[in-house]
Amino acid sequence: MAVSDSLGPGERAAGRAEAQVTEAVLDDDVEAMLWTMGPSLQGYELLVLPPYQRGGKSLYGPDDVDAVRLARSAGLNAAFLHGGPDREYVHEYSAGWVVEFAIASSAHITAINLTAMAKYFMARARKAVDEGLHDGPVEQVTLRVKFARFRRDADGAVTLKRLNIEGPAAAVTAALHTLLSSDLKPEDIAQSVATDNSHAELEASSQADIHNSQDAE
Amino acid sequence: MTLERSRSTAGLRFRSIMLHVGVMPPAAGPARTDWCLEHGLASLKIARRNYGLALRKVLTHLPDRLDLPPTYPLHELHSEKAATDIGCGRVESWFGLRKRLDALDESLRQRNLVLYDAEWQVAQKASRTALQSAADSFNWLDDARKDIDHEQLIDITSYTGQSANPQTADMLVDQAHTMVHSAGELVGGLFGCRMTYDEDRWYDECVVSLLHLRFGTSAGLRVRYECTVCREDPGDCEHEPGQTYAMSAARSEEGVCTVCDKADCPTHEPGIIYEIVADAKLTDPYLREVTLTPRPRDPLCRITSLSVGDDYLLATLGRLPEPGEIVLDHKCMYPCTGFRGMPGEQSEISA
Repeated sequence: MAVSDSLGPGERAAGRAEAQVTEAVLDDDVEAMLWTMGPSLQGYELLVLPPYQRGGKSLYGPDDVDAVRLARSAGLNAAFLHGGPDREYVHEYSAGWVVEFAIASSAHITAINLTAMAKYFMARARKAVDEGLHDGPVEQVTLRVKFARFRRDADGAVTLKRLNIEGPAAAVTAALHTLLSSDLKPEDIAQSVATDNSHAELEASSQADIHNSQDAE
Repeated sequence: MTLERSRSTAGLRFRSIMLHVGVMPPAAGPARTDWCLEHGLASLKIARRNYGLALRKVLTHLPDRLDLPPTYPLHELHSEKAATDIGCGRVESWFGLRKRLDALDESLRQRNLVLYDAEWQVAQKASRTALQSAADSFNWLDDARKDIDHEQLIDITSYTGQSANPQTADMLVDQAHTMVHSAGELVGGLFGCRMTYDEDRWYDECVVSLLHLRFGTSAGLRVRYECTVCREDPGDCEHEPGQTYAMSAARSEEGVCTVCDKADCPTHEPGIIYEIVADAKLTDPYLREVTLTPRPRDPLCRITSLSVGDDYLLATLGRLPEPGEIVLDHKCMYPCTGFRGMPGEQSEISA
């Protein structure tokens, strides 16, 4: 497990669940566009970002073609960072592969958003299994996620956190939950426990899988 | 369709296939393994069938007093010295036979007969097909075995549809390797392969020899995608991939059919409704880079010719050939000395 010293307590906890959480660097143009949109991301709950840069140009992955569709199916108000005419994809003819993508979330994260984001992560992993790119199970598909999230501190200052989360899908999803839970207000968490059974089931499932894999080791 | 390009590294120049236009093998996972096994076994079958055909045709052409050189396990690993000694003997045997056949053909022609008739050309074509198919088979199967346990038995029947005993990936790769050497020797010994000359250098294009360089090329492209139904980026439209949609055929300003993307399409009549399957179609490809890699995405994207130095030419021919001269390549008649990895890596010798 590689966790940077500069990470907060929540980020360290996330790293314990088999996922590697490290600091990330966003491409300059991507970061500039995010700041232009501001911490509300113009009302979007999730933005799909280009995870690659080649020759000074930010590029989406071939699998990102379906990214917004999957995010919306998971219940998120999502969009690409780049409009259609400016969107280009990397197409590399190299063998070997992991599910790699990049996202940004707004500063106004809710428990429902969190559940939906976890569903989105698992949907990206499931797509890989469905297409025969991984033997499965879905929870063990390796995800490499670059995650940018706006965060409003107690004093009202807005910061942009940039993280890489990498590991089996279940662990990455658990790490995401740990990371974002610290941003939720107590009343959001209470509401989440009271109303969102699917969230609880997903969490229980992820934790069980993590324990199982630890037992196996 | 293939795209080839010349490259240079450490004084060597080579040409390689960069990409095949069409459907690519999956990047990883069981889908890739299945794809490589299916294509590898199909290629091996083609190689065997054509090698058998070539041998039959050749043997029916040989006079009673002539025979092919006795078979030798060229595919088995040899030291450089042993390979040189045995290889020289093989070259002498094959070229000696070829010389006698040439003389026979010459004398037959004086009586309005020919030895090298249409059937002989069929044999040549079949033997070259066998060699290329065997090499393709090796490349497919060698890729597949990287993801398969050495002990795991592969259900051949499920890939070929024909009854066959299960075998390990190693066994299949060995069969393809053996076939490469057998077909290669027949091609080089009886029909001949020429070295090529280009831009002040001689190039080795021996399929057998180049197969033993275990690296290839992977291309990096920058592309766009468009939906086959609405031509928008598939990330922006509502057409579900794999679903069928009704679409009225039309012609673009350039005269391209909106259904099949072909110019001068004779099939889809403008105004008529056709059913289209929604998919992401790659457009506007821009080639950014080509990299040498031990495992190319397309296992058939390999080196197709490699420059040779004067020292090699002097050692094998005893002189430097003149540009434009016909120089036959002998490498296919030499026993295997193992496989070699990426340039700069330590040479790898394996059985």
